[in-house]
Amino acid sequence: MRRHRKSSALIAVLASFSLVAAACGDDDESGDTAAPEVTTGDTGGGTDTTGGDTTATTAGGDTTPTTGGDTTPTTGGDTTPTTGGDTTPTTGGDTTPTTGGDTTPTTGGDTGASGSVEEICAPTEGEGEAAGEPEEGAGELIDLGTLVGDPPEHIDPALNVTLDAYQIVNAMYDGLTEIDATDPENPEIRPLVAETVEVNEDATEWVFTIREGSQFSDGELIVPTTFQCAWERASDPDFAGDYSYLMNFIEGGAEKLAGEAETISGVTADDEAMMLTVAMSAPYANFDAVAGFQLFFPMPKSSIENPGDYENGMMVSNGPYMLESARTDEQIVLVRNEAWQGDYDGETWPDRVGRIDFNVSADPDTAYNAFEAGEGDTALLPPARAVEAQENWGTTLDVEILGSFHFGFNQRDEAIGGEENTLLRQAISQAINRDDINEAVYNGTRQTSTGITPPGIPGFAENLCEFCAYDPEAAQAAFDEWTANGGEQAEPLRIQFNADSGWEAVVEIVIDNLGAIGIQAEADPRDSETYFTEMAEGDCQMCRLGWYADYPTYDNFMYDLFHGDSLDGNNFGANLNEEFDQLVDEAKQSIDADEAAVLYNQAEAILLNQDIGAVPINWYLGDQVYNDEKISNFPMTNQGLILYEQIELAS
Amino acid sequence: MTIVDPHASAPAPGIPSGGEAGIADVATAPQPLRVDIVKRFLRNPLAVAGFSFLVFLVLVAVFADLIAPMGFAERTQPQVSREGPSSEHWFGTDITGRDVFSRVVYGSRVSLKIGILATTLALTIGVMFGSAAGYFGGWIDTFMMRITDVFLAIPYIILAISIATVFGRSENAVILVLGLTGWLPISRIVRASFLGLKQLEYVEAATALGFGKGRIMFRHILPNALQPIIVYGTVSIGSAILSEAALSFLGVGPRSPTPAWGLMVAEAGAGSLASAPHILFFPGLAIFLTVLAFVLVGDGLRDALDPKLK
Amino acid sequence: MPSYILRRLLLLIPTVFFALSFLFFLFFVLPGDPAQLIAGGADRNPDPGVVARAAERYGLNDPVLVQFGNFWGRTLQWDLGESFINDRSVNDILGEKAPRSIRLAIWAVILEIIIGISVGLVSAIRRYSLSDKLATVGTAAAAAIPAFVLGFILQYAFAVYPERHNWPDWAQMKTSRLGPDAWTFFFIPAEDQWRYLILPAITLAAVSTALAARMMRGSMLEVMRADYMRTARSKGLSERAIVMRHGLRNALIPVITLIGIDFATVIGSAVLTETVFSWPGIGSQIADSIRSRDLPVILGLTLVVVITYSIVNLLVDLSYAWFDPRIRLGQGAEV
Repeated sequence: MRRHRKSSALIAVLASFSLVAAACGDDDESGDTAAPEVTTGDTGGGTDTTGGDTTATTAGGDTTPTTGGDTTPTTGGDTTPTTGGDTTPTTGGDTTPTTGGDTTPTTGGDTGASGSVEEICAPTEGEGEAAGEPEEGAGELIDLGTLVGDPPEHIDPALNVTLDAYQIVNAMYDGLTEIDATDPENPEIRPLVAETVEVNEDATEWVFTIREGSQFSDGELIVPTTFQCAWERASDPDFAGDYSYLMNFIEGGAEKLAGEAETISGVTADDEAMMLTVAMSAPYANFDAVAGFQLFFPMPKSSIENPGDYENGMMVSNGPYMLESARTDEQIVLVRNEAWQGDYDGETWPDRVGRIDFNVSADPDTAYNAFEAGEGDTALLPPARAVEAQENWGTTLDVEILGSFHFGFNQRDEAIGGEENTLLRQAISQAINRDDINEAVYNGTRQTSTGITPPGIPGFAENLCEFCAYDPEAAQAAFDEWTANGGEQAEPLRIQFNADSGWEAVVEIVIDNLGAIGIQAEADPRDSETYFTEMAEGDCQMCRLGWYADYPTYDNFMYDLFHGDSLDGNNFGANLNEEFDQLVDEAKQSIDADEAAVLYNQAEAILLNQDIGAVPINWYLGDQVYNDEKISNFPMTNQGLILYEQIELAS
Repeated sequence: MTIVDPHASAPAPGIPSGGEAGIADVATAPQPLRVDIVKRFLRNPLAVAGFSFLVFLVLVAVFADLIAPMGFAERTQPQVSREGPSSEHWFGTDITGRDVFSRVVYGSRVSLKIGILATTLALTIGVMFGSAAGYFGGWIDTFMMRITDVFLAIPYIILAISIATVFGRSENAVILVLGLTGWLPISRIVRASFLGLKQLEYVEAATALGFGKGRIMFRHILPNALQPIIVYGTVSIGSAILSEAALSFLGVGPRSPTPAWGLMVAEAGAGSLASAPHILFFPGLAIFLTVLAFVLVGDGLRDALDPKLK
Repeated sequence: MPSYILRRLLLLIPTVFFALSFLFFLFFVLPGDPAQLIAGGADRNPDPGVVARAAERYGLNDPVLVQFGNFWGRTLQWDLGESFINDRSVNDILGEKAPRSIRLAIWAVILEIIIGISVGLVSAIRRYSLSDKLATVGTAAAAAIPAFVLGFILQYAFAVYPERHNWPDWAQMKTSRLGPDAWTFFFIPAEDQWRYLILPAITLAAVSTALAARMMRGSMLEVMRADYMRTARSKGLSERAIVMRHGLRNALIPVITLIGIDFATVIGSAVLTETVFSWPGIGSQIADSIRSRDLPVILGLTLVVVITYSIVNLLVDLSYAWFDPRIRLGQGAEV
C-alpha cells in the first residue's frame, strides 16, 4: 500500500465508463457464464410458484420471483422482507423485475443462490432499511492524521491504492480474513467474515466458509455470492483499479482482467453450503492473507450497477463503521454500524467511538498546527517535531511498520536503466548517506534500511543489500568505471517525488550526496495528486517510492513492487528480470516457509545487488500523534492501520 | 469614467500619494531642484534609514562570496541539521544542514535580482504602453485601455500562477511572471500623467515647433511624468520580492536549492515556528526589512519629489 | 446615469470575453499539447496511450478553434463543464465554494474599511505625532510580511499557544477549515463560527488595510490643504466639524477607488489565505486546480471572479458620484 496518495483523471474517466452495470445488470446472457452450483433447497419453506414461462426461470433456490401475472410469489414461513444474495428479481429472458400486479419479488429463505452471475449480482430494489438509525455512540473522534494533502481519490475498496484511504475503507469493511499482529514477530491470519479457511495440500484451492448471518449495514446478507459478485466487479477490465492484478492469483482472473472472459472461472459460490471455493492459477500458499485485503472485500449489490460512481454516494458497508453521509472534498464522516456483528470471536467493542470525522488538511504542518490548537484528536507527525511530540502527546513511534521507503529506477529509461547503467545505479546507491537522511529529516525516528523487505516480515534476512551502506569512495570508483566504459550523463538525472509531502529535504540530501561524487542530479517535484499515476505511466527516472505492506508477506514486497506481472500496477521501477520473476513465482508456490524465505532472499539479492533496481533508504516507524488526554488506547498495527473500532476514549 | 473637470481629484490608480492634483502643479511649477530633493529626502529619518539599509543590502549582495562562510547549497559535513544560532552558524542551520546565514546572504542576490529585473521589465512595458495611450488619445487610447482592462480583470495571482505554470519553475520565470503582470498599473499611471501634461502650453509649443512625436513624448512629457513612476517603481521592487514568496508558497516559485528568501520561508513552513523558528525567522526578517526599506524610501521619494506636501 | 451603467455593463462583455479567451489560449496553445498536460504536464513524459485517451475524452483532438467555440458555447449556457480531475461539475463546485469565499472577503473588506480609514484619518489629523509615526511604520510593516507568514504567526499566537496554555475556549481561535459553517444573514457568523473566521479574515485584510490607511492619510492631508477647507476654517467652524463635514468625504474618494482596485489583491491574497487556513473556498480551489492543470475549473472559477471584479469596480465608479458631486458620470469627454 502506498503511503502517499495517487490519483488520476484518467482512472476516474475510465471508471465512469464502466460496463459492470451491463455485465452484472439484467441483461440475460447467461449462456456462456459458469453458473454457480445449482441448488434447489428452499429453506424458506415456500414453493416455487411461477407463471407461464417457467422455463426461463432459473432453477432452484427461492430466487424465482415469479413472472406470472397472477401468482403470489410464495411466502413461506419466512417473512423477512428481503434477504441477501437471493433476491434477484428477474428471471430468464424476462427482464422486467416483476410482472403483474404483484410487486413483491422475493421472499423465502436466505440461502441457495442460483442463476447466472449477472442475475445474482443484479441490484435489488427495496432493500436497505434494515439497520435503522445509528445510535449515538460513545464520543467523537476528529481525525486529522489520515487525509493529509488532498481528499482521497478513491474510497472504493476495488479502486483505492493509498494507505490514507485504506484506513477508512478498512474501518468500513470486513474481509474474509484479518491479520492479527498482536505479536509482531508472529503475525497470524485469522478468519473474519469467513468462519473457516481451508487449503488443499498443494495450495491450489482455497475454501472459505462464510459465517451465517453476516450482513451489510442495510441488512443485505453476505453470502458466498456476495464475494463472487464483488470480485467480478473488481476485475471488470473497464472498472478495475491498480490493485486488480491481484486477481491474477485466481484461476481465470487474468482472462477476466483481459476482457477475454465474462467471469472468473476459478471462483465458485455455493450459498447453500455457504462455501466459497477459489481455485488458484498457480499454487499460492499465502492467499488467505491476500483474501483479507480490500480488493477482495464483499460489496453490496447496490455497488454493482454504476461502480465508478458508487464511492461518491452513500456506500453500504459491513464493517464496524459506515458512512454518515456521502464524502466531500473536505471530510469523510463515519458512524458506528449498528448492524455490525463483530469480530470473528464476536467482539463488537460496544464502547467504540461513535463517530469519526476524517478531515482533509492541506499539508502535514497545517494539520499538526490544528492538532496542537485542539481542533483534532490525531495528526500525522511531521518528522521534525518527533522529539517534542513524544514529550507532549501520545505517538505511534513505537510501532515498527512493515514498510519500506526507497527510490526506484526505471529500467526502461536510457539514462539510468538497463545493464549498461548498472554501475551508475550502484554508485548512486553507495553515495547516499542514509543515516544523514534519517537524522536530518526524520529526527532519527526511522531504521536505516539494509534491504527492501523490512524486519517483521516472515523470511526477512538482514543486510541483504551489498550496496546500501554509505561508501563514497566505492561509489566514486563505480562511477568512474561507468564513465570509463563510455557512460556519460547527457543531462542531469531527474529525481521524482511528490511535492509538499516532506520529501524535498530528502531529495536535496540525495542530490548533494550524488554531486559529491560527480553525478549530476536535479529535483523533479510533482503534484501529489497525480504523482503515482505519472510514475506508473513511465515518468519515473529515479523516483521516490514508499510501500506499506498490505499483508505481512515477503511476496507483498517482491511480487507487488518488482515482478513483471505488476508492471502496469505498482512496479514503477519497471524491474524486468526473468530470473527474479521465476524465483518469486517459485517462492510463492512453496508451502515450506523456510524454503520460500530462501528463494525470496535470493530474488531480493538479485534485485538489489545484481540489477540494482531500487535504492532502499529506510524502514518506517508509526507516524501518528494523538491527544493522549482524550484517547487512552490508540492501537496501530504494524501495517500502519489504525484499529478505529478498538480506540478507547478516556472518560 | 468621465470627469467633467480634468483637474478634479480623479486619482490615477495606484499612485500611493493619492490624487493627481499634483500633475498640473508639476508641469506648471518649475522642476524642483535636485539639491532640494536630496535635502528634503535627507530630512526624513525613516527614508534615510531605509535607504541606508538598501545600500547595505547591495553591498552584501556584491560581496556575498566574501561574507558567506559556506556555499548556499553546501551542507555541513559532518551534518549539523536544524541547529539554532551559534557562533559557528550565526543564523543556525536548516533541515538538510545548510548554513542559514550563508543562504540569507546569497539570497540577497536572488531577491534583489528578482525585484529589480521584474520591476524594470514592468516599467519598460508599462511606460511605453501608457505613454502611447496617453499621448495619442482617441481610439488608440480607448483600445489600449481596454486591453489593460482585460488583464486587470484577471486577478494578478491567477494570472501569475497560470503563467508560472506554463514557464516552469525558475528564477527567470518568476521575473518574467512578475514583469508581465506588473506593468498594468504602471501603464495606467503613466497614461493619466500624459493625459494631463499633453494639454499644457509647453507641449503645444513643442508640437507647434514641429518636434517629432517620439521626441515630445520622451523628451518633453516623460521627464515631467516621472515622479509617480519613480515612487511606484521603488515600492514595486519590494512587492516583487514579496510576490516571489507568495509564488514559492504556492509551489510555482524558484526551485530549491536556489537561496531565494521567499522559497526559504515557504520551505520552512508553519511547523518550524515551534520547533526550529530560526529557519523561518531569518529569511523572513530579510524579506520584511527589505520590503519595508523599499516602502520607506518610496515614501521619502514621494515627499521629496512633491514639494507641495511639505 | 442609467445609460452610463448600461454602457459599462456592455463593456463588461468584451472584457470578460477576452480575459477568459486569453487564459484559454494560455493553457491550450502555449504549452503544446493540452492532453499531455492532463496526462502529465510540462517537461513530463506520459504514456502515449494515456495522452491519446485524454485527448479523445475531452475533445482535444478537435482544432483549437472548434474547442474554443465549444467552450464558449457551453459557457454561454452557464454550463461550466466538468473537472478533469474528478468529473465534478464546475457549476456545483462554484455553488458550494463561492459563498464561503464571499463571506471571507466581506469581512476582510469590512476590516479594511474600518481599520484602514480610521488609522489613516488619525494619522493625517495628528500629523507628526507619535501615533502618526507608529502608523506609518506599522502600515509599512503590515504590507511587508508575506501573507502566508502572517497566517503562520497568527495561527501560532492565537490558536496553538492558547491551547497549550489552557486558555478558555472563547480565547482560542481556530487554525483551519470552515467550522460549523453557521451563518445568519448570509455573513454574520453564528455559533462559534467567528473563531474560525477571524484569523483568515485578518490575514486576508492585512495588506489591503495597510494600503488603505496609507492612502487615506495622503488623501486627507491633501484635502486639508484645499481652498474650501481654508474657507471652512475661516468661518470659524470647529476643526472636528471641518474634518468630518468637508474633509472626510472628499478624502474618501481615492480610498474608495483603491478598495475597488484592491479587490483583485484581496482575491490574490485569498488564494494564499485560504490555502494557509484550509478554508475551502474559491481561492484554494483555484490554486489546486492550476497546479493540477484542471482547465475547466480554472476557467469556470476565473469567469466568475472576473465578472465579480468588474461589477465591484463599476460600483466603485458609481460611488464617486455620491461622494463627490463635482463628478458626473456618463457625460462629456472621457479623460
